[in-house]
Amino acid sequence: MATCPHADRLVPLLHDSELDSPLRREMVSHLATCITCTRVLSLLEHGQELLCQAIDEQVGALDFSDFWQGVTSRIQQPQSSWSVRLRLWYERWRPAWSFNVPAWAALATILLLTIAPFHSKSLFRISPFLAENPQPSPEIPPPVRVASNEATIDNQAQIESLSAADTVAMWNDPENNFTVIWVGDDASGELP
Amino acid sequence: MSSSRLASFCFTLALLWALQALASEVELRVETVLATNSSTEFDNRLTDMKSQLERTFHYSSYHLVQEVHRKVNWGHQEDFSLPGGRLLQIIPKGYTNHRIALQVMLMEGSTPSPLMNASLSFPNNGMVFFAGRKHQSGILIIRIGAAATE
Repeated sequence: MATCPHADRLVPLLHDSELDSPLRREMVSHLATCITCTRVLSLLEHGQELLCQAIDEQVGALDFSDFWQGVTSRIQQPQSSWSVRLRLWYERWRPAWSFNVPAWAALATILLLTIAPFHSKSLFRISPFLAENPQPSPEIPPPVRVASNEATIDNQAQIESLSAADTVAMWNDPENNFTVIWVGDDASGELP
Repeated sequence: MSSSRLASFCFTLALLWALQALASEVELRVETVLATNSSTEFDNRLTDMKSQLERTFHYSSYHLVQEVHRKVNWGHQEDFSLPGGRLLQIIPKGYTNHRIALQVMLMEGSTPSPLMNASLSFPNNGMVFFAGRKHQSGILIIRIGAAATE
């Protein structure tokens, strides 16, 4: 069988339209005189035609009757559980959260320092009241600790400090469980 | 758990705590009663403290002249105007061992000057009475109550 040096290398490229114009024109003119290359090209074309036929036959054999029904059923499937969605949401925003540890610590510290003054209720134990008293004005004598009430019933008021510009008296009513602080006018000085 | 996750967890806890802190309030109640001997009328709105008033103060007439309820934040000063141009300043200082600590200052005068300054505490939902200041033909009895959300 006659052979041609172009048959194995250039004819397949010509068949695939991979040759540049000058070389393609040269190969086309060569095909007119070379039986070997012509046969190779015709075999390639025949093989491609058979391949296309085989593909068309297999595509035609596919059953698409249930295709849209399948799409519909997938759409109507119940949504993922909240934990899965939460996880997806976390993963989605994870890059935005990926600060380093010092940044998070600084944020938490700032938050604590900002809120702490408003929340003496649970963060700080109440120290002796006198330490937080506002500065007494010159008209009021300095606060005096009242000791007489410390051993009274727990439901009654406990006086930590008391100061007044006028006569002041204090008593507890054990029966009714309340405390009275009497701030009388100097003019009268009367007690109930 | 990575350090980054641990840090973000701590931050979330701090954020939740901060929100809870902002939400915590204390309710202050200031009721001002005028007690006189000019009549024998008893204000029906004072029924809940009738026995306390009559056993303690021995006046023949009690009339509720003012009642104020406020929800306030801890540590914030609240001013209450009282009859006769008086001013009551209350600072809810804190809540510990089921007791509410208050700073109470009573002021009076045309340019209000401090008359009494007390630092005290009483049980949650408890009360304390301040009395003795003359007003009209009687005296004022001020009941201060406070309630914290536990």
